[in-house]
Amino acid sequence: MMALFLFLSFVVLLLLGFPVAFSLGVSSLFYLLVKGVPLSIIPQKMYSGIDSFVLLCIPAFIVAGNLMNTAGITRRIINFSNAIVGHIRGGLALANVAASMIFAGISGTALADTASIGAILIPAMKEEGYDADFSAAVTASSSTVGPIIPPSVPMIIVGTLTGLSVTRLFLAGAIPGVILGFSLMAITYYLSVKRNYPKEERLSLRAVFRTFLDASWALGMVVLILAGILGGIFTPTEASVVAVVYALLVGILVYRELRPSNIPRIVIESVRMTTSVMVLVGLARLFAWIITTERIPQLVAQGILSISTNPFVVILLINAILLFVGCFMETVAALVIFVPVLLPVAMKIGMDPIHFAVMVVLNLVIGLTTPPVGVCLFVAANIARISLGDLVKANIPFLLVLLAVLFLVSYCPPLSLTLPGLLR
Amino acid sequence: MEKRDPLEAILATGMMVAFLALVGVVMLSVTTRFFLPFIVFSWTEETSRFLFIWVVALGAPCALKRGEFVSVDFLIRRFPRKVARGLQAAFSLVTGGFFLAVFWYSLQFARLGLLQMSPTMRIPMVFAYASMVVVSFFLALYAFRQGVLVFRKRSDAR
Repeated sequence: MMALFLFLSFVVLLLLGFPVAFSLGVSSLFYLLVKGVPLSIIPQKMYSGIDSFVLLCIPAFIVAGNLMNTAGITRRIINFSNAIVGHIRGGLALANVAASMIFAGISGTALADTASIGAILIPAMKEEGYDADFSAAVTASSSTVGPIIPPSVPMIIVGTLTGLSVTRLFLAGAIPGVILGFSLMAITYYLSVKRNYPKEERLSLRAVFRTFLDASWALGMVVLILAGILGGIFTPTEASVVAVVYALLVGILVYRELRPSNIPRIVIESVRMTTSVMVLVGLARLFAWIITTERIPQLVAQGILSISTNPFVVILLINAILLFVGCFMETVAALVIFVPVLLPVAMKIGMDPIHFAVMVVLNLVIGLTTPPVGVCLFVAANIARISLGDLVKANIPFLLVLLAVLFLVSYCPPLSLTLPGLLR
Repeated sequence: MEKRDPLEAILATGMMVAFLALVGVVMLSVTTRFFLPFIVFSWTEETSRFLFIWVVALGAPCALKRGEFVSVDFLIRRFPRKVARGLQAAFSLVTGGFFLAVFWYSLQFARLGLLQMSPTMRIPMVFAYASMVVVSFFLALYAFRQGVLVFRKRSDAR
């Protein structure tokens, strides 16, 4: 009963446009007041939610990504991708997807990817004769590989929520992320051939090599982060901090496009944005504590398992819930509320928590490209200067591909579990 | 329109300094592990966590001021402007009230930290717990300020 009240007040506040973090806090406050729980639990839970060595890699990855972006790395990655796949039909569109995959190895969010790659490629694609809605759809949907291919902000959040190793979670996303990227390339190619989109001239091997050299410092960052974490040399937190230092050095000394006078502004803006996420995580810890004391996860588990105990059906139900939630809710908020609630259900039917995590993140990331709340759609439509409705329509084939990959990842655990299994 | 806000400048600078110190501390532990494996610093993890909590405490009020807290706004954008603005003002006041309450209880929480020592460095936990006092105080302050600004704008429009 009280639990229902908690959820209702949360949902009402949320839908009225109250920030997610404060909706969590205020609805928890109502609950605590009614239940007569001492309110000193609020700062206590908030503190313990933020006090984490793993969480601090989120601001560091974002700072590193933004520093590199200012240093002109996005342009270099795009040039390199274009040199490799540009001569195929629909070349620029394919380069868009390829660049997203490389960019995914530096940034941990889909939005950063849409904004930085879209700003360069959407206008370029329009100029070459691609339809504006298609250009925006490719950009938005391909940026979903960002949080699947490591590093990944959502995976870090799942790690702090569940205590699973972030390194293993990162590894688990690698194969599904690559599959996602190549599937998106396939549909892009198919549509480009059908619509007879242009292709670029094939570059000489020497020219390709030149773009590679130019991009090599950027690619070096991908290697540093991925090999460092996955090879067990760094913890994710250490890797993120090393990435900040690397970005500073490359931006100032090698590419020379990062002016030292700009650095404080970039650092302040990037870190400031992530602190709001941290307050959300802290207040979500309080909310989650209430959910657990009210035994909500058990109730939800019972509810779902009373519909069916067949793993196939249960996984389908979990996916349906998460896709629905993802349409309305921002990724981090959805994670902090639904991971603790749905994980017990997944465990009951024998799902590996790591496999579950990859599935959850994929679901929520797909939500970034669906209306009514899909931030990647908003940003891409804005850059392409088209209406949201047109973009949603143009995005349907890509959405179907994303759903097909989700299906594959949901029902084929080895895709997620093989790489983490190699780690001992 | 946007006036310079010295308080925000202080908070943001503090946040940046804490973040850069955090980068320095983690780099120190990484480089010593690689190049001087015989030196082991046990204090680096705890220090970086303390610094991180202060990064959040100092940065979050600035993020609130800049409207960077995520919200779901697809419904409210369809509301009549007056209603939306009224809601916004009301929400700012609720947020302010909430963090004022949190502030009060954070004082108690921080007091607990006077006697508690951190596990590795043996410094009183109050240095870390005090971050909750600071963050809730300034979040409340900026929330109330925002509420007042929205009210004032409405009276201007009439």
